[in-house]
Amino acid sequence: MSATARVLLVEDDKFLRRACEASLRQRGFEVTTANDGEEGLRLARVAPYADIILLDLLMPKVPGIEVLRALKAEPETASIPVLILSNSSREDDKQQALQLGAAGYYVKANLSLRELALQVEQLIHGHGAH
Amino acid sequence: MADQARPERARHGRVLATLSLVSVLMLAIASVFAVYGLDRHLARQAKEDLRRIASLLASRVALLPAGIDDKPAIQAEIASMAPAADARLTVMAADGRMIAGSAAQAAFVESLGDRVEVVTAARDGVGVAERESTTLGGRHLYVAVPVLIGGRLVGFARAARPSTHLADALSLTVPLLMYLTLGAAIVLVLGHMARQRVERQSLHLVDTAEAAAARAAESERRLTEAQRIASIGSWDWDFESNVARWSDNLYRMFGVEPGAFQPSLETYLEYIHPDDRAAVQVAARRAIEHGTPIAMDTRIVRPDGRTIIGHTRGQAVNDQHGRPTRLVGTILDVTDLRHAEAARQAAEEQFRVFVETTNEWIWTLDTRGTLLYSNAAVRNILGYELDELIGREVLNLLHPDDHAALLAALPEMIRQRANWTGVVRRWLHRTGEWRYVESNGIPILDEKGVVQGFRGSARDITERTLAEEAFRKSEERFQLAARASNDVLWDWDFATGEIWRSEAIRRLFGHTGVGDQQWDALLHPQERQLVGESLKEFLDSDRETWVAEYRFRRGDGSYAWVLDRGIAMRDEEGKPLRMIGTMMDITERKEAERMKSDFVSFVSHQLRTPLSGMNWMLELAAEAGNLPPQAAEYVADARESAARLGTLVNDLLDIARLESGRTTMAQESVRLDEITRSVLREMNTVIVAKRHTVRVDSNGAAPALADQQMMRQVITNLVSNAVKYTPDGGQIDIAIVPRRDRVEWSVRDNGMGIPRAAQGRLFEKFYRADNAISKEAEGTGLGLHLVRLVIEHAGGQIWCESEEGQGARFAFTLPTALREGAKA
Repeated sequence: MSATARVLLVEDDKFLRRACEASLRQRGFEVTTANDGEEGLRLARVAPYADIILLDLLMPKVPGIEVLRALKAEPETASIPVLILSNSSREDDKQQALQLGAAGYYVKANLSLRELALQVEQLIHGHGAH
Repeated sequence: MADQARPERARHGRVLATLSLVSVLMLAIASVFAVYGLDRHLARQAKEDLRRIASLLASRVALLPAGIDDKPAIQAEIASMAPAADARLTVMAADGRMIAGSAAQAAFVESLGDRVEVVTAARDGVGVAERESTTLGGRHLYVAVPVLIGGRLVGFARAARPSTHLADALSLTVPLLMYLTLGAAIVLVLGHMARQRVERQSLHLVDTAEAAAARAAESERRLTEAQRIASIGSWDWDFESNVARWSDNLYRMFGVEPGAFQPSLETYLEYIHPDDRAAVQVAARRAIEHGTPIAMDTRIVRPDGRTIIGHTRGQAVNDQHGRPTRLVGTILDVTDLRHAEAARQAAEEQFRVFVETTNEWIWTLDTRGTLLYSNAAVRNILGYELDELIGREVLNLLHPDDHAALLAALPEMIRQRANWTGVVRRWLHRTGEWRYVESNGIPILDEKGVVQGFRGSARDITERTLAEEAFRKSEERFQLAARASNDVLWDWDFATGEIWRSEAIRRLFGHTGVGDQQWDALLHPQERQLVGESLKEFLDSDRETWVAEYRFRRGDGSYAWVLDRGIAMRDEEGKPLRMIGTMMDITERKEAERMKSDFVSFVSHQLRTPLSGMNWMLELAAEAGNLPPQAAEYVADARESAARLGTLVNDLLDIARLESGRTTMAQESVRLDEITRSVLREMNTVIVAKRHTVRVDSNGAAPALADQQMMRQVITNLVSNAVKYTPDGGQIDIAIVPRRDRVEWSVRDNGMGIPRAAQGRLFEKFYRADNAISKEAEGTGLGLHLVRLVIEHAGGQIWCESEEGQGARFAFTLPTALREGAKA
């Protein structure tokens, strides 16, 4: 990779946030974190833009799905690939996210950090698979 | 012939006589009337004429110069008028003194003043009278007019003539004519009657002579005819001279022409059957010697070969001295009669045998209930021997209620000459048991039509009755149970295709009657096809029980969740004959389940957050690489534990999802063999560690229609169980085979098996058989439940066959993907 890839992580659970951040940092990613949807949007709109956004769905104040909608509505952020990291297995949630333009949808409980890193890598540097 | 014409002629004669009489009478009457009419006319004429003449005379007299006293002049006048007048003319003075007259009687000078015509003329101007003439004979007509001179009556002029000749003549003629007519008529009638009598008598005389002869011949003819008709012949045998006389018909009976031979005892015997000849001779001798009448059958062999049976009757006849000299008698052809008798006897015998040997009780009773006749079958019915019951009043063996009812009905039965069929009464068998006996009977009538008794048949229907009673009770019980149960009971008869549903269908769902076409329409669209396929698959299989859950539309349009369970009875080939089941309304349960699912779902999701946190932290710790070996081991264990927790949560969520009924599983073309092999690869480590032998046998089975992901889970689950619950070195066989339009996947192991008691509950949530628990404490018990849900959602069936200690075989079927609409 040429430049260090920038990852924006929007996750309200602190343990998940810390673990994810640590894992990605270890693997050489630059990680910015947001505690809720509102903060996530604010950070996303600011340059330098992230190369990928990891977005939780179930968050207080502004739910993840609204964040996604907003991101995709704004030209500056619309092109940034968004990976949804949810704990909902509900098919509706998955479909809705994908239709709104999410590049991928994963259930955190079934996803290892290694697998996550792999997906992030693929999305940034290749045409990522869902 | 003459007899026929006679009444005709007689009638003609009478008619003729009557007509003549009548016409003559009428003629007489008519002529009488005509004559009298004419007579009166003539009389009137005459009167007028005479008046004219009298008036003329009166006026001439009045014109005479000397008047009434001039006798010679008056005489002259009269003389001149008399010839033309053709009447006797008389002129008289006013006092009636005759002055002159045309007749010679002028000599008699008498007073005519008292004559009627004179008196009337004096009073009225003219007078008419008719009377016998004293001077001349006969009736005369007198007309007088007064002579008036100067208006003063001076005398009378009178003209007279004899009365009309016609009347006189008639007064004789008419009665004469009438008498003549009457006489003629009488003569005619009498003559006719006389003639008839003469005719009759003459014919009668002729008759007697001819008739006697004819009658004799006729008599003879009739006798012969009678004999022929009656098939009887008569004979007359003078035994002293041994000469017999046979009637024509007797010859014919013997098959010969009348008079063909001279009959005698010997010639007669020739025709008799050899075996019967002796008897004939004996009978003849007895008749002659003792006067014993003959009455016997003999066989007669005719020349044409036919043998007839003749019944001979005969008697000795004495001569004038009282000595028997002849035997006289008849022979009657009774061939047909004897044959008929024989046939009847045979039939009777046959009938008797039948009656005696049949199992039906044949009986005859009198009106008091005494058994007059019975066949032996009564022993089977009542347990008594025939001779114990004949002549007894068997009705006393009836159940008291039935006895009383019969006695009450008997008078009416007798009055109406009633017959009956199918009446059941209770009889006390000898052993003390009550027997149900069904009988038919008809009345026996005497010649006046009065009932003297009854006869009929009967049979023991105790077993049938008890069976019917038991059935009825059972039916009653079932109906009560059906009503008490809150489930719909259904009964599907495959022979007729009819499905009976209990009344609860109305009570629970508000349907008055559900036809089978409508049934499918009442299933919720989402479950409709699946349930149909599941049922079809079950029927094609050889399994006994079937279960399905689906939404069923109520009468008001809302949907109820129904748990439908059925048991099938199959024939030897496994084809279903009948299926009985229940439909339980589990809407509330489903609702509770859904709420539970939602709760589970909610909680599971919540659980995942800290779980994910644990997983990642432990992953980081493991990958940090600088853990002391002990710690590394603990971390590894922790990760494994966490992984199990994750699986549990995943399962819970899957189950919740499937149970919520809101699932939409994919319908893809799934290659079960590929998934199986992939799963086995994943589990290779464990399999090798346990030294199991695994074999997969898939002979070209088609792809299944299911959700790829979920099938992977299912197969993993089932294989994993097989591996887990089989002791080391076990044998695991997986088979994928086509089954008609389905594919069947099965895994068989030779492990610990599943106890019978547990098999029914195997697929329940959280259930683990005792032996499984003892083997390995961890299993969650979710796996099989989830597996069942997935399979059933895909329209398949899953089941287990096992004997404890002898391994287990789990199998499921799925529809194949070889149809339209399946995603390849």
